[in-house]
Amino acid sequence: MTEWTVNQQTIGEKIVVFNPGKTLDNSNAHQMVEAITEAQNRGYVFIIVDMSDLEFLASAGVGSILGTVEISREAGGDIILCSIQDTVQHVLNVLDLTDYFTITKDPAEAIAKYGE
Amino acid sequence: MNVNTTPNISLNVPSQLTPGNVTDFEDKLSSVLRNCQENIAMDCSALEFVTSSHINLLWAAHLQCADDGITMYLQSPTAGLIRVLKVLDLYDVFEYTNEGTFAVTSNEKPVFDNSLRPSYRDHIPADRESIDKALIDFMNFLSGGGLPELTEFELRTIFYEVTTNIRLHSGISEKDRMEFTVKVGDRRIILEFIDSGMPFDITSQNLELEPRLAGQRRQKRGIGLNMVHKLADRVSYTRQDNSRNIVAIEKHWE
Repeated sequence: MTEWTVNQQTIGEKIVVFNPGKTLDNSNAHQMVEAITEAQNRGYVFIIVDMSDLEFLASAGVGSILGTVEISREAGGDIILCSIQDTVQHVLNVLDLTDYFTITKDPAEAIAKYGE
Repeated sequence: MNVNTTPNISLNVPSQLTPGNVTDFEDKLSSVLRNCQENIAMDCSALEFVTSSHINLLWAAHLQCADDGITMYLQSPTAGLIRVLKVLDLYDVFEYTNEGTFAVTSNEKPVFDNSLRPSYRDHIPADRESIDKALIDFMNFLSGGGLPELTEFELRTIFYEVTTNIRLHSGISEKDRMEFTVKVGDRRIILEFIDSGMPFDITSQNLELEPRLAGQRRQKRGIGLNMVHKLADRVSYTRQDNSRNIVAIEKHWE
């Protein structure tokens, strides 16, 4: 079985855009944490998570972001969630995370807001 | 095709087929058909393990009913039966009934109604691939049942979180099986998960998730149960015979 890797694209020296695909659950949450951590260690202070393809966000997926966001924030950056589908938005609403996470309509809005 | 109809009579399809009970089944069917019932249901809720003999029996009954102008429905098909029918490309040949799956209880308070009959059952090995497959089967069962899309999504999430929690934390091996049962009432559904792992009372956990605190703690775990409780209308836990955990989750919709 091919190891899952998150689709990522860097923009400048401080921004990276991740697209985790259709699901973020126990099968790939660990790799998501590793990818976020690696990006943070490489100095990408703004990590944009493009959720346009994401149909299912399990608790492990939530944890992969919740467990890493403060590291970005302490470095003066953030993890920004964007293009969230209704079902994923529902999960974030249920968990009361919509005020805690930074959310934009799409990656372009996040890049415009946080880019250099 | 699922239909909201009320078959006039229901015949139980035996889980174990012997020459004796096959003959008995065929005799009962012939007797029922002689009384010119408009439709008939084959109660398949006992078919945990499906053999070619079961398929032959159902196919023969289907043809016999068709010859007599009577509609035959498969009632409460198990996940195993649905899988076999789809593999054999026979799923769309049969009609399926919601009678016995949707009880009229519109004014009833949300209680766990033990009078509801199981309308879906599965025995799921506790490995990731089997859980993923079982989830697909469960979603196939739900689709076409008239549930709102959001409710289906919430049930998917509940199923995933509970089975994954059992897989990861109950101590059972990947060869062990969880039992999964669904009971459906009028705009409500009860999911029951049974495993033979360590005692774990899902209702006694501290479920508060304070986002800022969780973020500061770098919290990655313990969110699943929070999700289950927030998505469900009622959750219960029972430890049975000092050997089985039974988690029952009830969900309503408008």
